[in-house]
Amino acid sequence: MSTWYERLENIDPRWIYLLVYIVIAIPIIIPLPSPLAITPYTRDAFEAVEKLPPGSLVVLSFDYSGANPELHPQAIAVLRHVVRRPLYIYIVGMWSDGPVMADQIWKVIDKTGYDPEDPTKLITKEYGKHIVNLGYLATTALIVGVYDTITKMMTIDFYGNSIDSLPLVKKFDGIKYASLVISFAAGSPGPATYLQYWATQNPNMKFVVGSPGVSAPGFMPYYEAGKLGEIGYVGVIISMRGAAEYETLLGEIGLTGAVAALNAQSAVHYLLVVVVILGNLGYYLRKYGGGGR
Amino acid sequence: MAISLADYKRSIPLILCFIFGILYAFEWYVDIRVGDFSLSYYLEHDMLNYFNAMYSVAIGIGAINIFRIHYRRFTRRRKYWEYSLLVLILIPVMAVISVFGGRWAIDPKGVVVPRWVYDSLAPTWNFLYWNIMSLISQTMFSLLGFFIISAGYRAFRARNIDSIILLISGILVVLGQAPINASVWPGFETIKNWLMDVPNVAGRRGILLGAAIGALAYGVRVIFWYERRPTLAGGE
Repeated sequence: MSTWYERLENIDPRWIYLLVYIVIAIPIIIPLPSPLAITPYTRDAFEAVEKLPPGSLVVLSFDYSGANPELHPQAIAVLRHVVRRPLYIYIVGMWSDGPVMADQIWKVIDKTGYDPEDPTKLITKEYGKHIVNLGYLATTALIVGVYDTITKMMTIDFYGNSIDSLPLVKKFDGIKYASLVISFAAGSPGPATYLQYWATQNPNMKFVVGSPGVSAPGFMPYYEAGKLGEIGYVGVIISMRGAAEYETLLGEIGLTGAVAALNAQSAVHYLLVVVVILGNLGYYLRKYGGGGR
Repeated sequence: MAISLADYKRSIPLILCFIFGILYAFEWYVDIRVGDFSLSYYLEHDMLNYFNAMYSVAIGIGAINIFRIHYRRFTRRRKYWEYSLLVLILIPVMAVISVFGGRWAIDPKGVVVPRWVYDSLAPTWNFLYWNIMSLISQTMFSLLGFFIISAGYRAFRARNIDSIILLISGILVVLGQAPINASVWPGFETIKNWLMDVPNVAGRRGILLGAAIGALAYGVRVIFWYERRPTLAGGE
């Protein structure tokens, strides 16, 4: 017969699964307002877009697939932001699914924004003129090549349009004209490829990364370098929370659904802390209080 | 062990390693220009195409290998052979549908392959991709949350000073990352940011620099034939 503290140390994982299910389900079923502090990482990412002069070119790289629920809300918020601002946009993806994810967002997103040629005028952004989905950057040669000249490396865009026929490509025939590159990165290949091939050629090009929570610590050395003006990232959007922060900064609450998921995320974070403490409590009681091994 | 040039299975991979290793290391530092020709540009653009072609072939070989393994498992009725049968059916089905009806179909405009092939397969591809594969991937990713909590409960034990430091810093980062921390205690946020920006960056930089120096040393060993395992030239 095991003692209570031994049972505390060896809770059946199925009870833990049930608890996880409950603490995620309740905040989703009963939504409550959630206070949110904006981290400097997200604020820097937001400011990087906000400070771009009108008429600048931004590259959004969708480096994730449909299996990354943390990155999609980030991508929705950022795409809406760059559409709203008077900017030109290229969409690429080092993951084959990436441009498809971008297409899904582009189909439903609000396309009103300020005209890059006349920043006081509110217009509906047009595909081909203000935004182009260049599609999947399948190879390193393509990543290197489109930096110099897009028309040399590609014949069609994501939708099968002739690349020469797109006014935006005529205006900016190369990624080298971009002021900011934002990569939503689920893994490898990821934004380090852009740092290697693009940032080394153009020190003025800025980079922002959207990261799942688990990968964020790995981006931090580059973020610190980016803050110092070296090759690196000038902002990092971290996890679903980063998406919610971006959405809040954008002032379009409800855009991505991330804010609504925050309470569930908080609850599961606290559950993790509680079960870890319980496990350690059982361990110490057995070891020091109950004639343990 | 000396390598004989007559033993071409061992010597050719080593010679190729030497030539391309030297070339790529060299182009990173020195660009040779003859008229319009630039060695760096050539290696970065044109030679990379060969690398990409080899990479694609390697993926094809991987697919064939998976097919062979599961075929053997199925024919010998090994444990879980039913899943192998599913793999054997689904790999060619998905491959054919993707090639002719997928998002990156070889001829969606019907120039060579009749247009009706694409038109009839595209809805099936969309269904398989978005309603099955994508959802399965999302489900797998979501299940990770359950396993992480369970694994954290079982594995995070404060057994010694190292694990105590790891445990406390881990808990503080988790609490700091929880969105509700602003109303619980804003200090969690400050502590988490400090842990991420200072000790995490210092540790990561150390690991990155160490790994880079290690990779450089390993590259030099491979180029100059001290390390023969990548080419199997040591006979392993």
